[in-house]
Amino acid sequence: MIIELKDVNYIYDKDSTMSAVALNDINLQIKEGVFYALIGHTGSGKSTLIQHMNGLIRPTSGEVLYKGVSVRDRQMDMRELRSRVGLVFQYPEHQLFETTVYEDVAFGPKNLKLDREEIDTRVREALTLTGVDESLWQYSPFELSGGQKRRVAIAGVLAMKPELLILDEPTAGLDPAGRNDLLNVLKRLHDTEGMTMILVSHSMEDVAGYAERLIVMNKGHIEYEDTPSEVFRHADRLREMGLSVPQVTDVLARLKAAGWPVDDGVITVSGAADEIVRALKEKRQDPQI
Amino acid sequence: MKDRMTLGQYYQADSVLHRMDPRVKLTGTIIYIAALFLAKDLWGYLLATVFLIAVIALSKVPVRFMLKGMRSIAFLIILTVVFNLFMTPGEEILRFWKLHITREGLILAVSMAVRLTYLIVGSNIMTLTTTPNNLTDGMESLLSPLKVLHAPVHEVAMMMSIALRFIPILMEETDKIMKAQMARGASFDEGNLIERAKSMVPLLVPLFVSAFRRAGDLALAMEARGYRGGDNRTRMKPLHYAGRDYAGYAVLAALLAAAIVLRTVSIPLPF
Repeated sequence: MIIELKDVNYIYDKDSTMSAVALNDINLQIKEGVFYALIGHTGSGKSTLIQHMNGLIRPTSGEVLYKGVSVRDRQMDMRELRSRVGLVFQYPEHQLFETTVYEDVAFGPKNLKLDREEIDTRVREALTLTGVDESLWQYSPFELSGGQKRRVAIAGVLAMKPELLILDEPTAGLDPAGRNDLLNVLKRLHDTEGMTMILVSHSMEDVAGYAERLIVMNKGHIEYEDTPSEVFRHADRLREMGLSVPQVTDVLARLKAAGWPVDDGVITVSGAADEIVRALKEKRQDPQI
Repeated sequence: MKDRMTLGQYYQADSVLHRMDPRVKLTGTIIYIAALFLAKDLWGYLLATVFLIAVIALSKVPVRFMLKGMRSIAFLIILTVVFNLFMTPGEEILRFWKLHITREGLILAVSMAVRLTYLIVGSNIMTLTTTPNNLTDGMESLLSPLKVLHAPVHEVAMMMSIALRFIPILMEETDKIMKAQMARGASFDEGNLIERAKSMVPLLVPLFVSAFRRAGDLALAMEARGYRGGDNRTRMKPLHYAGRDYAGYAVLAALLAAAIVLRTVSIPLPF
């Protein structure tokens, strides 16, 4: 277990009239090697939650544990924690500042006071992993396209070699092709490097095919924490929270409601096709259904 | 970050002061400052104190919230006090090592500290109870006679309201970029002065880039909607005086008159 949150509460602007409860009794365990997706409507507390995981925000009450040690603990080295729990913010390209792509990615490792060779290896590795072509490494990051900038920014966090990588809406503002490319990069990182991943999104469609577990947030608390197919069974409840289910799941749910013997826990298009074919065959054998 | 920056921010509440016309509040701030500088003895400061306390009570803004904003100014006040305390020549009342405190210095230091604090708290109340838009509307209206002299009053007011509007946005942006760089192991409060200045680069470069991008976007959006300056432009919310505003002006006139009277006649202190 990398991160554990115990009874975490967080209140914004505690002293002002505009104070708002952002997190409400959060209990959550993030286990090694799992690909999570954190889903919730705008303002449901997703961003606040993930900032607790690398100590950028301290809980108003409750505990955040990294490998069993409280983030509040004096022995906890914040810089170390932040290198182990990599956090990529929304529109990460807005944080680029160095003169070259290479230097920008090296910013994180330099802060970790690593030696020159190690920094070089990490920068090369990170840029290769995110698919930034070597011909661009000496360019100014401000000259790149939106999608490339974002890859550079993500590489900047990857170069810290985190065990857990958290990305807040990494595909926001990208075109569909760029979106798929990026999600595939993340999937590869999880599959080949064994990296634990938390993908924050408000779109079910985006994450359904990638995540192993879904964490659904609503108004500051965790509503579900389960496999995608289990979560999507609660289509009505999800809609109440302003979330949608993937189109195929919706189709299957309607077929089921119309009396067809299909499993509405399927989340991919190919899976849904198989399910419909199976149901059709079953129906042919037994016209009673 | 946000905690330290109460100065110049609007505090949402429903009070007479919040509903008051911004022109009254602007004039009031100027008169209050004038009264503060007219004060020459305890009576003058007493007058300002009474006025300030009354206004704070009317504003419904928690005092705690106001004092938070003072923290950033504390250094300036302390510096002023120290300089006045030790550098004023006069009758010596205390001496240690090479420093000596004079009676005149003590009085000057205390009155300077009071003046500065009152000045800041007073003008703070105006920004705390008036939205930036309202404030610049009021300013534009008060300065409109200068249009006769071809002063670009509307343009200046528009620039001010945009600048004020951008403060919270840029603060939020600063907060975000700081956090993003902290997530990459940056630290903004370590090392000596040079190291700290250097550590600001990863914060300031993205902030400037973002400010320029926003400015460009805004200019484009304004042009696209046909903005072409102040001529013949009507307002969505024209300013109108209400009963409370005339009452406000009356109180302000009384304040100014009292301050002038206290300046010219000297009433002996009761102790």
